[in-house]
Amino acid sequence: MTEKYKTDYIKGQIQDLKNNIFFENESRKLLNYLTPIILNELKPYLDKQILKSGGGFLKKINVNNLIDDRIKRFKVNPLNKTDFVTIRAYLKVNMYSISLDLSLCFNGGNYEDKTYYCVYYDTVKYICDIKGLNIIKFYDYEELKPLNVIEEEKNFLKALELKEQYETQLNKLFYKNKNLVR
Amino acid sequence: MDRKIISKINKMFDLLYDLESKHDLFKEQKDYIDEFMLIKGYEMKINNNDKCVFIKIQDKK
Repeated sequence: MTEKYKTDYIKGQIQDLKNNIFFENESRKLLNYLTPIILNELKPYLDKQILKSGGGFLKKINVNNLIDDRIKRFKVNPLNKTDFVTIRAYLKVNMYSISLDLSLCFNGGNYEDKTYYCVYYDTVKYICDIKGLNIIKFYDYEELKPLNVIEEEKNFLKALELKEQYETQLNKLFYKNKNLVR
Repeated sequence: MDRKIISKINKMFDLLYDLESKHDLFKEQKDYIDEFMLIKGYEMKINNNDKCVFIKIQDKK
């Protein structure tokens, strides 16, 4: 790796890291806002039947409508001033768990039509375990703190340095013992 | 495989396993060792001291 290539590579990686932290923090804000609302709505149903035998929620607990309604009142910051953000969030149900699926789409377009000028960020948060059609356990809820860009950048550079050290050690270990590779 | 080398590989893999949980930059190196050892007939296990060790596949009973 030439020095220039390496510097450009690190610069690019750090920019990606910063963007990812931005998406992660926006998504954490939304999770912190939505999770207690969902838990509050589902808590009375612990040990009770919550799903229809054919799948999907019993009609009287229409949490997805509640989520849609709350999201309208929530504001996600755009990555750039001119971007607009589309949010999609819904409770996903399978045989074992109920989770909150969250997609944030920055910079135009919509989430159905995944166009190149969109930046997507998907998150899944598990809300509860289900068995049969009943809720058996809720996951502990704790507020997610935003990630600190400076701290994460420091960790990344440290990890990059360690990675190089391990690559050298790996090369020594495997290539100097040619009988291993054969 | 030489015992000394196995012990070195175990040590390195254990460190990478730990580091990977903190940053996915280490995934590639970790997967490389994992795949290589599998080809050589070793499988990764976590021992009683919470360390990663490779065990020869036909030896485990």
